[in-house]
Order: sequence, then C-alpha cells, then structure tokens
Amino acid sequence: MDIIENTEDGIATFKVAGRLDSKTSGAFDRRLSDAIENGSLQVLVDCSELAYISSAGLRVFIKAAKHLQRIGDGAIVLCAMEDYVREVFEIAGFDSFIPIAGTCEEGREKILAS
Amino acid sequence: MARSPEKQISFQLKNDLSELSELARQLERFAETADLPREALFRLNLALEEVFANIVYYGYADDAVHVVDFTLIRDDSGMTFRITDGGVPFNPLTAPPPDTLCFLSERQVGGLGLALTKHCMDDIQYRRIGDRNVLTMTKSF
Repeated sequence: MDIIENTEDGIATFKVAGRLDSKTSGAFDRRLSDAIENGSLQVLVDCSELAYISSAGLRVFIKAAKHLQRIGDGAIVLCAMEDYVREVFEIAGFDSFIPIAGTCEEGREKILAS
Repeated sequence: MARSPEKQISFQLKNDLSELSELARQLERFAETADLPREALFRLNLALEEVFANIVYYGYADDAVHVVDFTLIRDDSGMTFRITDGGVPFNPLTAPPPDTLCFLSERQVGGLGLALTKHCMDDIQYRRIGDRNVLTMTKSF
C-alpha cells in the first residue's frame, strides 16, 4: 500500500494505492489520524488506485469520520473507487455515512459545498 | 457435455497478519487455475482474509507459531473453500468477536467481517472436529 498526501485549496488529499487489509490499514489509520489531529479537517481520499479493501480498511474511514464528527467542523469524502470496492462500503452500510463521489473533482466540490 | 476436471490447491499460512500477502498470492494462483474473473477473486480474498484475521486475533492465547490450512476446490457447480486451524473452539457463525470501534453515532458495526464474508459466500458451515476448527464455505456459479 502506498499513500500520497498533498494539500490544495485547504483540502488534504490522500491517494491510497494498493491494498487496505488487516496488515496495512494501521499505517493509513495513523497518517489520517495525524493529519486530522494536526488540523486537516477537510479530507479527500482518492481511491482510484485502491485495489482491495477488507473490514480493517473500512474501519479506518469510519474512525476518521467519527473523529471529524467529534471535532464538529470537518468533512471526509471518498472518490473514484472501483465498483467492487464501493460494493464493500454498501454492504457495510457505510455509504450512507461517508459521501462517495464518482470523480475526485466531484469530491472536491462536495467538500467545498459542505 | 464432458465435465471439466476439478481444480484444487492447498496451502498453509502461519498465524501472522504478515501472511496476508502470501494469501493474496495463493488466491491469484487459484484464480488463474480456476479461471476466475477479477471481481470473484476480490470477494474470495475478502472472505478468506476476514476468516484468517479472526483466527490470528482470537485463535491462540500463546505467542507460538501455528499453522492454518487452506484447501480451495473448483468443480463444475462452483467452489468450495476449507479453512482448518487448531485454535480454541470458535464458531464465527454464532460468536462474532467484539469490535472495539463499534459505532458512528449509534450505528453498530460489530461483526462487520462476518457480514462481509456472508455476502461473498452462498453457504458457510462450521464444525469442530477433534481439536480442529473446520470452516467450509461454498460459492455456486
């Protein structure tokens, strides 16, 4: 799993490439938690190269959403995921808590509008 | 119509999450042998990771290395996956392990791994045979 992080227009973007599984999710969790802790309250996760996700990966996103909810002023939006990755979010019912945009541009618009 | 020959692979993993990359490699090998499309491989990997991670987290109280056995079979009607371990008796179908991170507001996500596994499979059977847990999952075509 590789993570590329950059900030543009006040939005912290994480591009996650590869596999978010029980082994690798911890590293992504730390990166995301640290960023939120350090004041990145608008978070976009580019999932265009996310090849695989399990329940351990899902928990990272729910944890980040909860973290932002607790702070009370922030947003996390996911974008550009493959259909079969999106299906995992849907089975878990997480797609009703975490917005998933078709493209990263739509994702940015969702965050700026929130 | 001639029956296509049964395709089967067996392998073993140590009870350590670092083995997940080996699991993925073995499943790619099976997918190639069994001619599985990408989505089917994804769901198979998801189901087997959830089961394997449970065994790693909850199966053994000691720090010793233990072995988990996998057998994957494809025949004309579908696929059968058998996971066998010598850990504590654990039926994942009746005893989902507690999740430490369990809600967004009030939403419970306990047993999330099991829900994903069930979604990916048609049938899951648990049996305790001697001192082994045997989980058999099937997926029809």
